[in-house]
Amino acid sequence: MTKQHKLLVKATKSVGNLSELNPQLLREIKGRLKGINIIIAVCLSLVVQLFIVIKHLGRLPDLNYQIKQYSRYCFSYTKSRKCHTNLLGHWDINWQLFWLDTFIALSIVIIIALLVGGVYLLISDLIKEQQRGTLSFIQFSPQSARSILTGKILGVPILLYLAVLLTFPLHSIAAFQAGISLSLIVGFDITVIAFCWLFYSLALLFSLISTNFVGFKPWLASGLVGLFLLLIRKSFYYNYHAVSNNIFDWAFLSNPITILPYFIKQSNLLSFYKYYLSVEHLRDISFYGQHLWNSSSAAIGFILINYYVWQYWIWQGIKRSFDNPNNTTFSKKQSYWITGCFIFYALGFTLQTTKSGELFNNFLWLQCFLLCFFLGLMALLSPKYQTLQDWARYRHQSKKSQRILSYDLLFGAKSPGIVAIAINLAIATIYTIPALLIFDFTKSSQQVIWGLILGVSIILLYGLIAQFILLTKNTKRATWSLITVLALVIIPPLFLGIAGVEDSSNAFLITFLPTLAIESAQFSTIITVVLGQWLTICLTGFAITKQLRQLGKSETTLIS
Amino acid sequence: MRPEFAIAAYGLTKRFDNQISVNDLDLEIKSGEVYGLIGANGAGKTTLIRMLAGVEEPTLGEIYLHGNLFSRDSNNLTIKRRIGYLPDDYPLYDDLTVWDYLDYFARLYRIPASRRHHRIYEVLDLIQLGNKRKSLIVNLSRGMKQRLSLARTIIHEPILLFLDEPVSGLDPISRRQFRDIIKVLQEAGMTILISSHVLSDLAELCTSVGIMELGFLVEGGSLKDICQRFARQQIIINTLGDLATLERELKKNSLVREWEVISGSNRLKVNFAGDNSDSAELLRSLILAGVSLTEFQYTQEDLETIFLKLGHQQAS
Ligand SMILES: Nc1ncnc2c1ncn2[C@@H]1O[C@H](COP(=O)(O)OP(=O)(O)O)[C@@H](O)[C@H]1O
Ligand SMILES: [Mg+2]
Repeated sequence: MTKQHKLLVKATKSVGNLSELNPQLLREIKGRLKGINIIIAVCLSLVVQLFIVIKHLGRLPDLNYQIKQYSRYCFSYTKSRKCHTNLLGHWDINWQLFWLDTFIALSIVIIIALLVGGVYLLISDLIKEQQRGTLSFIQFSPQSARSILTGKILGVPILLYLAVLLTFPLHSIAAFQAGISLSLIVGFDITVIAFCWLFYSLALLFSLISTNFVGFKPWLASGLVGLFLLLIRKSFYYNYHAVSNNIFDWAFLSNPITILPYFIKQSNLLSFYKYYLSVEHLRDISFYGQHLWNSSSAAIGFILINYYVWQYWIWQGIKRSFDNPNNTTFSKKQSYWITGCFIFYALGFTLQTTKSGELFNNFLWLQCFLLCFFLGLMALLSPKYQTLQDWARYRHQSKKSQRILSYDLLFGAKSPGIVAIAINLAIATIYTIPALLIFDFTKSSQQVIWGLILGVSIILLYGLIAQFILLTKNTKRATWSLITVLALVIIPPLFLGIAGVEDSSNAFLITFLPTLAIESAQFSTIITVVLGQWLTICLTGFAITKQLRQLGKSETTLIS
Repeated sequence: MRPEFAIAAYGLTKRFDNQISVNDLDLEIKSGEVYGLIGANGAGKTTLIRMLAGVEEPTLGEIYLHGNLFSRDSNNLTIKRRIGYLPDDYPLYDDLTVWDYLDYFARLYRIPASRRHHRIYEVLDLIQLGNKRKSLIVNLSRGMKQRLSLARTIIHEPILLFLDEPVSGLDPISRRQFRDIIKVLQEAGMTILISSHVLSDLAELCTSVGIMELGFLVEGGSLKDICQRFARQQIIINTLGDLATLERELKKNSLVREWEVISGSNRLKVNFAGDNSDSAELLRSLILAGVSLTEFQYTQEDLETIFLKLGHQQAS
């Protein structure tokens, strides 16, 4: 036996020991770690690293080229921004900055590759298992969803991990040469791993929840992730709309790229780091008035806690969907907590300023985020048509606790989700109102509260309309309800915009941003609109009740 | 409840939209039986099996496995671990070898490392794929893939086996191999439920059968029992002499239901409720009564036709 062979046997053995813990991981490794695949991954990794290094080497002043020239990596410059040479006639190179740039470029490439590639691989793998029908065997083994899917997360992108692992030497050298402390690098690595975990979990949930658009899903998800990261990369490099001091900071901060400014600060290259986003910008950000981004450890801590909360809920959803595909992604009880978490974070980033004008704008953005959040939550809380039909038909024969209608609508697993959505909206409203009273808006607080109430009612109305369409006999009900709600959200403001109607016109009271018009509106108008909305809500609710009753009674046919 | 039954279901109903695929079905299967579920395509066999195996949730009704109320969401891991389910399309992983595939499932089912190796060899032996253990699954023949799937289904030594149309699409040799395997499993004490749309696949194997039609379980019991109850026996009698004498004699026998005269001859077609020995009795009594017979032919209706007929009668 050759030495290599022995090593290989040893390696397989240690892998075997590890896999006693997770059979899914072993299975993925056996299926994927095959000769040719490994070679491709290794080559790709080396080529990319080489490319990054060459790109940065190209920015050094050219030794063969004796004319004075500009380079980012010179220590000192002439008046005309040309590099100085030292007494020996050599260029004086700022190698620390060179390595810092290399380190940062490599970090960003790694993050993007891990996220986009991993998300794509995981979703397409899970979809393949679903389509082939093998997933149900795994679901029926005594293994928990957590162990199987952790095995998937660790195992499916294994070649990608291998490629990333190969960047370790270059990454370490670059970090060391750039003068970055080990603790910060470890903090960064942990953040990257946590970030991947969060997005991979999200990817798994995404592939488990719906069976629509199957072939398109991996592309869609990894495309969106890629776009998100590219936007963030852009704001990092050019400090372009990076910190907005409103709820967008939440999205911006929730990724490891925001740790990079701390590296730059630590490397003490003060005069050079202007090219990148600086820590000074991050210092402006506050969360409920706390400037957590003053220190790197607080920033990392905040990001990790934020990830932890959301991965917790994502895994609750994963478990439910994995254990039974007929489950709604979240239970109604869970949804109340999720809304609580969401509004807690969202409001924290909304109240970043005490200037009333900015505060008002921040509040408008909060309303937009609430709309998106609730539209998503509705989709995740509504049971399948079949479940609703069975619920309507057999509710009276079911267990006692389910027979109390109010309890069933608030907590039941199979009842329509719309009442729970109303409760969630109430939770968000009640949490937000005190802030509106305390903080100083130019418009009177009372008016902004009316804006909130109008906005929340219209979200509820969208939800009811979506539910109504979901209960029709149309076979494409899901698609239609999505289209209808999107149309209701987008078309009125679009139409008003095109028609040149002013922001403050009363017409905006019936869009999803009623707060725009609230200042100039008469109190009587506001009351009329609120009453009108609630009348519509009651009517739609009534129509849905009738639909459900009909569904419960409808004739059944025997198979033929 | 009812621990004497390995599988018991009461009031089981599955509804898809406005169509009922399994309709208020009661089923009781004793421990150690091989139960054949027979029915045409679309009768609801797959739906029933999926519910029993816990893949699908019943709309209504209860399932008891070895006396324990069973449902997909229940945390009854002990019983969940002892179920083997083979779906009709037996999907596999093409990128694994036979050995790795079985090893993967053995690990999923937490078979301890000390026993795993032995168990995989045992199962490979049973399905006669020992010499193929290093081949990639993608290179196996259909029959081999099918047996490998069965091996996957039994690797964790289940006590309940649900096999959905395991022999359809196989050639006669594969079928025979498959039947032999089932016999071994039965002797090992498993309770097995097999579905098929062709009775002849199951006739030799099953200790009892159930017939499904349009979501109903129209008939159930041991194969012999069902034959006796529902098979129509016919006797063709040809006499040289007087038809009237023959008819008079036939009337005396309580097992004779009715008869018709085949036109233009002295031949009678008699519907008879007794079995072989009863017909011998009838023959003796006719001879004793002095009827001169030239033909006395006892025939039994083909099982296949009985089942077809039965299904249609009961469901409508
Ligand atoms: N997931 C499903 N959605 C809608 N109808 C279904 C579904 N599964 C089965 N059916 C219907 O249930 C009936 C019974 O199907 P099945 O149980 O597959 O019958 P068999 O296995 O006896 O051929 C068929 O009419 C089929 O259309
Ligand atoms: Mg079938």
